[in-house]
Amino acid sequence: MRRMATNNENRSENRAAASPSKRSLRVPAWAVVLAAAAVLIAFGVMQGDALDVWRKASLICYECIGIG
Amino acid sequence: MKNFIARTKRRFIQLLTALLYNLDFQGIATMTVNRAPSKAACIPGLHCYSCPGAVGACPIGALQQALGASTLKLPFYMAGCLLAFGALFGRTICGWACPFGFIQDMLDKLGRLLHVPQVRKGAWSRRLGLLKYVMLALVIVGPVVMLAIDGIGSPLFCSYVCPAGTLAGVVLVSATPELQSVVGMLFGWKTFVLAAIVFGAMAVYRPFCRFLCPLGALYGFFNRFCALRYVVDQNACTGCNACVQMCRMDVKHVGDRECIECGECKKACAHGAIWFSVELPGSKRLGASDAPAPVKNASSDRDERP
Amino acid sequence: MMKSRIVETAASSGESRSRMRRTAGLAASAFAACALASVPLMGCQSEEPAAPEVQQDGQTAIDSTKMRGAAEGHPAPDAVLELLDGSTKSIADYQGGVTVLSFWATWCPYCIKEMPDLQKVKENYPETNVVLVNCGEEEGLVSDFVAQHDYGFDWALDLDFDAQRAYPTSGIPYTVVIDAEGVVTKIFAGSGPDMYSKFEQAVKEAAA
Repeated sequence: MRRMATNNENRSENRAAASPSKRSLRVPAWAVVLAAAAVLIAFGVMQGDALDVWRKASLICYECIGIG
Repeated sequence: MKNFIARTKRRFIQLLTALLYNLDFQGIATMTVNRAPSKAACIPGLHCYSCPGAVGACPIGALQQALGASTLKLPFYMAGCLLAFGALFGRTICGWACPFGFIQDMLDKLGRLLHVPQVRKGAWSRRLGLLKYVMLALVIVGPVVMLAIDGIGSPLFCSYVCPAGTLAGVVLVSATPELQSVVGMLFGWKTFVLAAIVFGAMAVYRPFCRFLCPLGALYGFFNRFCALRYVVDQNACTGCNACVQMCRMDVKHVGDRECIECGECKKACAHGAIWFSVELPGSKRLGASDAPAPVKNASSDRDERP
Repeated sequence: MMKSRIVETAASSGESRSRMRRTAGLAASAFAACALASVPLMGCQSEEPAAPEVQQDGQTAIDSTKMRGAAEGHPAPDAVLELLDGSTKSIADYQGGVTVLSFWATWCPYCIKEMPDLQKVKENYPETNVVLVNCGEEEGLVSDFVAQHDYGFDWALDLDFDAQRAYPTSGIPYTVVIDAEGVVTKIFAGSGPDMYSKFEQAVKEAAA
């Protein structure tokens, strides 16, 4: 299913490898977002967000879920 | 046979995750909401922590509580959780790991079994699908506005709309006599919304997911680049559009914001152009480029460039 | 003979593949079953049990699956309350008069909305003790709230849910009406419009 690489393509790939640019690094976008998410989570936990979530999830506010 | 395995695999995982979200057997036995430490963690799907069995917090509920908190902290933890789930899975969560989505799938089967007249998708459903972005805006803006108005950041979506919470709430109310003497109009309204969605789900495919779910709306933004998703091999694709026609969600292309990554389209493709890619860093997707190339469509979707 | 061996191998490899798939499926199901079976252990390890089997002094046996801590018609569980002014008082100290014990938090809209009703109860029945126990919030937040509103309640703190352990509940607002002998007469879980008439009736019944 993959096309056979032509000479031109090989040459451009070599050029890209010789001068490392972002294109040849190929870090997928999801990995970048995931890394940012990890930083946010860490910051949030330090700030006490996770504790807040636990407090409000273990003692629910009835109106907040539509019981009332 | 292969189709059966492919289909049941997804059903099995849907059922498994629905059970995994509800591992608090003690809570279920006593019909009370407990204080397990795991409730500090958010689960990826929409499952209200009003359910006695819930072991984690609903991300939408937790986000609203964080936004409406009078301490006025930015919700870093919640945002991080949502970004992480989105970046990894996108709307694969909708198709594989959301209990309420699973319930709607089952209701759909029930509706067809009972010969309920099915309402097919169309331009009407595509337009109605924009409503879930309004819900998402409500989730984010609602608590902040309420906080500014009367000092209490009421989570409006959870209070007035979310049927997943009502489903658990009905269970909780029926088991708690002290609640029964107090419930009134608000609970009546929410039960009505739940009933409408439940009956609707028998005639329309996944109405809540398509028209109302803010979590699906949010995850949809990650669908184009998340790690686990269906991709189309542009070299093999002939633009016959069988995938889009087969799809019961309001997609314009496989894997766009409306796609719940259920994989039904893969069976419709006669050219084997649809793949579930688990993308590893550095690997090249089969024939696909970074920017989604326009699919040669015979239909009038030419203007759509996601 | 060679040919038949090749055919055999091809058939058996197909068979072994489906056998492998079946084994994988069985293994996955077995793993899932074990995970589910281990969950009751997880439930037992949760820090705050929902249904405390611990019996308060003088209480009759409580059916832990249905009643939790406070139950109508049963003696009210005792707990030590840390009042906002720094003093401590136990719930048993309030005996001798009707007590309305209400659990709340600043992020709970219904709790805030029913405070005027509780205030009316306090004003119309001044001998009633109205004790508001805050759940899980720091002293600064609570005292800010108290300063912003002018209510004649006894305010108590409960940052680590210690008092809550005696009065476990799924959610708030959670209001317990206790008569002068220390017996729970009425429990309200949640709130709604016009709680005053419900509170008033409960207080009257408790006083009777």
